[in-house]
Amino acid sequence: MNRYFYNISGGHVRSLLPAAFAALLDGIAKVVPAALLVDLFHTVYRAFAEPEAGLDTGRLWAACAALIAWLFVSYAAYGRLYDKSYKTAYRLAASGRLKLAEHLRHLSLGYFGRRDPADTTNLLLSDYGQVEHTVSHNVPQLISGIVLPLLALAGLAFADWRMSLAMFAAVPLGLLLLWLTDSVQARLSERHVRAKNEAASRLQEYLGGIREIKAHRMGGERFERLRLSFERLKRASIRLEGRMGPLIMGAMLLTRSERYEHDRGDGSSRA
Amino acid sequence: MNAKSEVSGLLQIAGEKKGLLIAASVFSVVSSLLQIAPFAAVYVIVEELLKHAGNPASLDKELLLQGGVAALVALAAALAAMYVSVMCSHIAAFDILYRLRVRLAEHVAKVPMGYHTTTATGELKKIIEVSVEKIEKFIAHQLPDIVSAVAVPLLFVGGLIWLDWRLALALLVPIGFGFWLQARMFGSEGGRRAYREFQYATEEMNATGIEYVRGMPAVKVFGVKADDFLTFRSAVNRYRDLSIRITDLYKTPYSVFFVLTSSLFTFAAPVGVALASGGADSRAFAVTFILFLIVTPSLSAPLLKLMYAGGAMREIVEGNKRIAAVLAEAPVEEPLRPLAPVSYEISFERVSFSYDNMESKDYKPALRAIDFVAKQGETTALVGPSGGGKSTIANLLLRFWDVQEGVIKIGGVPIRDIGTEKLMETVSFVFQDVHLFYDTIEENIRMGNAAASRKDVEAAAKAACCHGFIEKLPGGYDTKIGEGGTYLSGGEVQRIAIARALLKNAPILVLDEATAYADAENESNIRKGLAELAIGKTVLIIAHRLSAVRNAEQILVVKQGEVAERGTHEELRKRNGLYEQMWLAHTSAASWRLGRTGAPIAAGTAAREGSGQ
Repeated sequence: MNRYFYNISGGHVRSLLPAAFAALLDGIAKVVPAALLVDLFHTVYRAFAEPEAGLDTGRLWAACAALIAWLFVSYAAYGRLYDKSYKTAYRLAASGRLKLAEHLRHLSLGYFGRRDPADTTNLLLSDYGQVEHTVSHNVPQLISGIVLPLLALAGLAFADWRMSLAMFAAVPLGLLLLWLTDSVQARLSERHVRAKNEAASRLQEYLGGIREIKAHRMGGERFERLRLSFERLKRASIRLEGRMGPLIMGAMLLTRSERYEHDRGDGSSRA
Repeated sequence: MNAKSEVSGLLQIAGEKKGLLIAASVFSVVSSLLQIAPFAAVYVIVEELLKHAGNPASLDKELLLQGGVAALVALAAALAAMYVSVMCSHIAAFDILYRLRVRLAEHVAKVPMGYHTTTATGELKKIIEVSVEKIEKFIAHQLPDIVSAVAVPLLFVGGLIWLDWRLALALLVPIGFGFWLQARMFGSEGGRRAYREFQYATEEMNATGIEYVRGMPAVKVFGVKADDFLTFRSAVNRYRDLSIRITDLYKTPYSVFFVLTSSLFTFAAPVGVALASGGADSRAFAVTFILFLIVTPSLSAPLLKLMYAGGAMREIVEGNKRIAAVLAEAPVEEPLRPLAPVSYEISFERVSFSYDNMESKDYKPALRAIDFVAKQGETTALVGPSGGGKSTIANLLLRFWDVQEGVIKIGGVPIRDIGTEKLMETVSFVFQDVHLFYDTIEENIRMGNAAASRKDVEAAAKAACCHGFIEKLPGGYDTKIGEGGTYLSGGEVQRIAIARALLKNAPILVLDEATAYADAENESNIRKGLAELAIGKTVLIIAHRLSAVRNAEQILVVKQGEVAERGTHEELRKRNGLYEQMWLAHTSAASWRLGRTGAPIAAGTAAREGSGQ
């Protein structure tokens, strides 16, 4: 986990702190409306459980007032999170890009001979775009995703420890599956990354030699190598998506998380 | 192009895989509905709980369990449906990307060379890679998502209105307000301007980044101070600053929308309490009320998705525009009924040409009324100062560009009527800067004739004097060139190109003679190869050294886009004109190089002449 934060922040784990703190506050801010909601349920239920007491409208109105007042707190917490996470992301990506660019200047000529320039350019531009996305989207989610269930677990344990345990029984299993998913994804996407780089190299070759290609009538489909590399990329992309799906779904079923939509988006940008 | 036509452009691309995409959308809606289904079970459970609130022991446990199981089954089914949807849309998307890429690659090989000289390779590469990739996001994710993000809230809200219209109204008001705020933000002049600026800053950063990496080897070799770095740094900083400004700009509408949609129950609660305390304290209302409070948080997910979809759509519009621009580039015109020449005499009849558009303010003709005949089986040499138009003449013969005035014929047939396919079969050539592909030597030679056997390839290599060095390579003919493989010297590359042309064995040969040879042995080998190649062909040679073309049947001296002199070597020398001057410069340069006396100025002329164009 430390390593993850270290990597995405380019060694500046501390720079993630304001965003992480904002995410924590936002997570805590979300607990209160949930508690108020439970209180509303409880009050209504009581009216049926003890009909002689009747509906405690005073308590209901108080809960509503608190909910409405809390809107402003939610707004402040979310606004702060939005601000911190996006700005941190942009700053980190910018300083990372410049650091890498600076580093490139000090590498030997041999490095540039060996490595496809497209690879290096990708690193500098789109891979840091990924850092931007991760810091602005995934880090806050990760933090509130860990902290909130823990808070909920503690809170519910007060009410009934057996119920709270039952509610979270599936979580370790889900986590295990998620961990498996991650390592499988790393392995699967390795293949995909290779296919992608291969396609990039073939494209570079094709465009670089376009005069010869025109002259020898090898354009488009006839330039089999390029077509094949595109086709392989297509297959690798579909395969990655196809194999990851059941794993992610399984983990979701166990954790009953509604985060799938997010994973979906994330998977695609990695793809 | 406006956003509307952009979206329809995207839908048109997506239309190629209609069946799969419809299936994806249907399953996406089914999955979303199944995800709502557990709420029906919740309704049953809540009702049962309230019914027996006074006496929990009388609860129908069987019913509760059934409700729970049903909810779990619905969830599993929802996930399965989602998987089917995701796979359908992804297969469609990746296939569309693949086709689009092949289409783009095919297309760029058909447009005139002029397009490639004016468009940077990096630019095209980015369009084929990145802009196309972004379409995947639209097709695989947005399209089914949008369908379900629209369908689900509608069905949801419909159901809620049916249950209790007053509570439903309490939800619709904040949703409407949130959307209005969003629309106001993104639709405003300031919002649109910020977005345009952001696009521009992104492009600038990408362009300077590519430039920076590409220029790096040169920086390393020549030790140039990297100005590129400063340019890149300022582009990165500008991008960062603009991103931060946009974050500030969007903060309020975005946060308000987020908070409103994720706190919908806050709005339903007071209305419910008011209705309940107004005397409607029946159990049915209480169940409905509780259901509302439980259900509304699930509404926020599709609503947020709808909002993201709008943003993502804007993101790909730009890329889509670029793809469309590449595809709109007109290909080289092909004749309806191609004619095949039966003889191979080349004639240029009053050919004028400019690399610029006639209307362009930089218009400068490269060739003016060029008129000559290169007879079949003879060698015609083009000589003259660099930039005079020699290479242009060769490029026009290959239809890398089309002439603006006059006509070029092969065997009496205008090359426009021959069709590029046949034309390329008729003409083979050796360029000055040969491009070898990242493939084996054998395949690089075979490019000349795909049907050639290994034996033919070797025979051509022998004739071009490259068999020797190829045999010495670690893998012989199977040695991979470039990209971590073997790198060849300029002379070796040139000889491979000659072997390629030999293998092609076309009746017309265009030769852009190399300007410099690494060593004498290389030079004599190349000359031997070329002599072999020229036997019995109509040869058009762009010569940088006059000694190479002394024996040509016809020499054209091209200067400033016009044929200044023409004739054989002897005739031209007698005229005592430009050719004679060049010849003297050439011979004295040669003798100067050998250490005898000679004018250094003349050597300079030869060097200029030698630098080609």
